[in-house]
Amino acid sequence: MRRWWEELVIDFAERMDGLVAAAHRGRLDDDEHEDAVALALARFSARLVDTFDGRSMGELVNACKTLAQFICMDVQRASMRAREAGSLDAGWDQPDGTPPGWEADEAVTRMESAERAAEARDFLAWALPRVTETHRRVMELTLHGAELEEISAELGISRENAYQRRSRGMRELRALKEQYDA
Amino acid sequence: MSTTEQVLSDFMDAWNAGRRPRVREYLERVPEGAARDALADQLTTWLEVAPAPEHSPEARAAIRSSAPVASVLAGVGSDAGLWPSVVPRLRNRAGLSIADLASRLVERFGLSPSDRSRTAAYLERLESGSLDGGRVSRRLLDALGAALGPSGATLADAAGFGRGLRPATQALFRAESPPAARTTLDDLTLLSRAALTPADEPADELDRLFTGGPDA
Repeated sequence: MRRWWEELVIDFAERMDGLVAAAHRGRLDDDEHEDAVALALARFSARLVDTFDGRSMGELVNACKTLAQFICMDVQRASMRAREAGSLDAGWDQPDGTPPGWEADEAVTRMESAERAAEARDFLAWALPRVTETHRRVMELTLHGAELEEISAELGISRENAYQRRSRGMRELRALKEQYDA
Repeated sequence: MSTTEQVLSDFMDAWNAGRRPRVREYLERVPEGAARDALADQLTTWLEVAPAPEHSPEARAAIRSSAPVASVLAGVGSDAGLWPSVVPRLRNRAGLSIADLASRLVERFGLSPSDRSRTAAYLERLESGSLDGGRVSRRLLDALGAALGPSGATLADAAGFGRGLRPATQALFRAESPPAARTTLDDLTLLSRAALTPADEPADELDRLFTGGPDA
């Protein structure tokens, strides 16, 4: 089991590193970032070992994202205490302006909600048909691993056009994900 | 075509190709502010749905030896998990010495000032990995979290994440010969030793916080 777990941690490490970085957007320095990733991987591992019952990789990825957000807030809080800089939660407000909930209980509740969300495959099966057709084709090829040059050639469009369609496709997917997770 | 679109696209290509792109480096390619926030949101969405790339054996070895992964893998099997590697750094970033943290805990829990040195000794054991993380009370972890940043639950998982992965040890006993017959003198010797051995000091509140279990 340990060998399986180690391979799973390695599988998820890059994704977790990226989610942590996207969550703090440069607010954490290199050491803080590494600590945040380690803490997130430890929490992820604890949840994995305690609750894994054959749940899908997509559900685990959903759990990663919520973990990443809350771990970043925790690590930054320690540094801000030392620097005595403004509000501990500055910059972390929710879009509607309400302060973020960072209490342990709420973090666990949110992580559990994320874990119950459907896996990525089901989400994409639901969402992709709802994406604008010109953007959808580019997203489908991207999700199958095609690089931009291949997509441009396949669809007979310029690189710039391919960039735009990808970006707009991702914006549509993001909006759809928020709907799907709500 | 905006820079954000190109940077997002470059990241997605690099991810799919297994080139291990670093989100932080890509975020730095766009100006701070709305553009960077928008890119971060799109990268988050990508990371939620992206297929796992095929990594070469060399890439997997590099991921395994990266600092966060190496510390997590090394923490499995110990009762303290990540504490020896992470807690001292969190404490230093918070600008606290062990003595400072001990004083805060003494004040927080209304302990006697004379308990500061014992509290500091417990904290040293916690940071060196010689304290069983599973025996530390949730109240103490919450108090440490309030001082250091991470929540009590995060600190608990940082210590205990690998416990479920330890192989159960099995003890095999096989009698080689019948046990020697016990004599009354043997029993009296044992009893007298027990009577003369000083009893352990009863556990006080400080002991319970650090070793009394999660519900202490």
